[in-house]
Amino acid sequence: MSDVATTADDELETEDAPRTSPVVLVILWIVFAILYGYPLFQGISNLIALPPYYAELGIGGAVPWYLLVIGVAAPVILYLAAMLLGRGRELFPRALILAVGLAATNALALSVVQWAQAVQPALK
Amino acid sequence: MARTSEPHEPGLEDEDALSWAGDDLRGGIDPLTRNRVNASRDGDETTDEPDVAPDAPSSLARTAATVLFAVLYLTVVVGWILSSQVTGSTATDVFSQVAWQFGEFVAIISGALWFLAVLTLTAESRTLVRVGWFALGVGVLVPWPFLLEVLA
Repeated sequence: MSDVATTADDELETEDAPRTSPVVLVILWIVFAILYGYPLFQGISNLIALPPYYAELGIGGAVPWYLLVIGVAAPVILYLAAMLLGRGRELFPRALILAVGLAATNALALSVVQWAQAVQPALK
Repeated sequence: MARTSEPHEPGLEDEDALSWAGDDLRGGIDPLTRNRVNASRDGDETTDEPDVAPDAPSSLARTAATVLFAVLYLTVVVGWILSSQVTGSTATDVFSQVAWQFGEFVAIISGALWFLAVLTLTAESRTLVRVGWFALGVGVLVPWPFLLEVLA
């Protein structure tokens, strides 16, 4: 992967020459930022809403903080990781990596919600 | 993407039939030669496995690992299809429901996407790199909603 780029550098004028126009790249990043934004929004609203809800139910000590943190962190980490992994690649691989990250984000979000329900203590 | 940056020299037209668009962007070397160059370079860099073929993209172990993970990822996709039956949105507004459906849909195809991405993007990487990405994906994409439902 990176080896190809290194080999090609001898022939290209500049290192890491952008083969895709910056405008297209920015549009790609914005579109995916919006798509990653929804699971992030859900994660944040869970983080804000779940603790008081649990407190109201009388199980305030059982808030699954690690799950709430994963719900917020996963969209951010996966988006940044996808951006990093796409560096120096052409448009399609970049979009593919971002799409994989988006799919993984949503899968993780669903898993987190289900785990939260699974570890919720029984109500009296 | 496949734009040719410089005009071809006269007399080289014949070679157009023997090359792919974009070859010159990749160093003007045909893929076979390029891979060989990269393989030998890999071999120089990796000193901890000197006896192993530096990069053998068609080795039996590599193929076996790819097939094994293909089956695993197929299981992941099936697991997420079953998971989508377990999970459900309580939202009533249209936007939330559409967003939820979209989330479930991409979760279902997440396994297939991850597999195809690793398959195509690690085509020239070492087998261990490919297996590492495959394994990471299986770990991240465990279809917990279905598993938790079954185990509960």
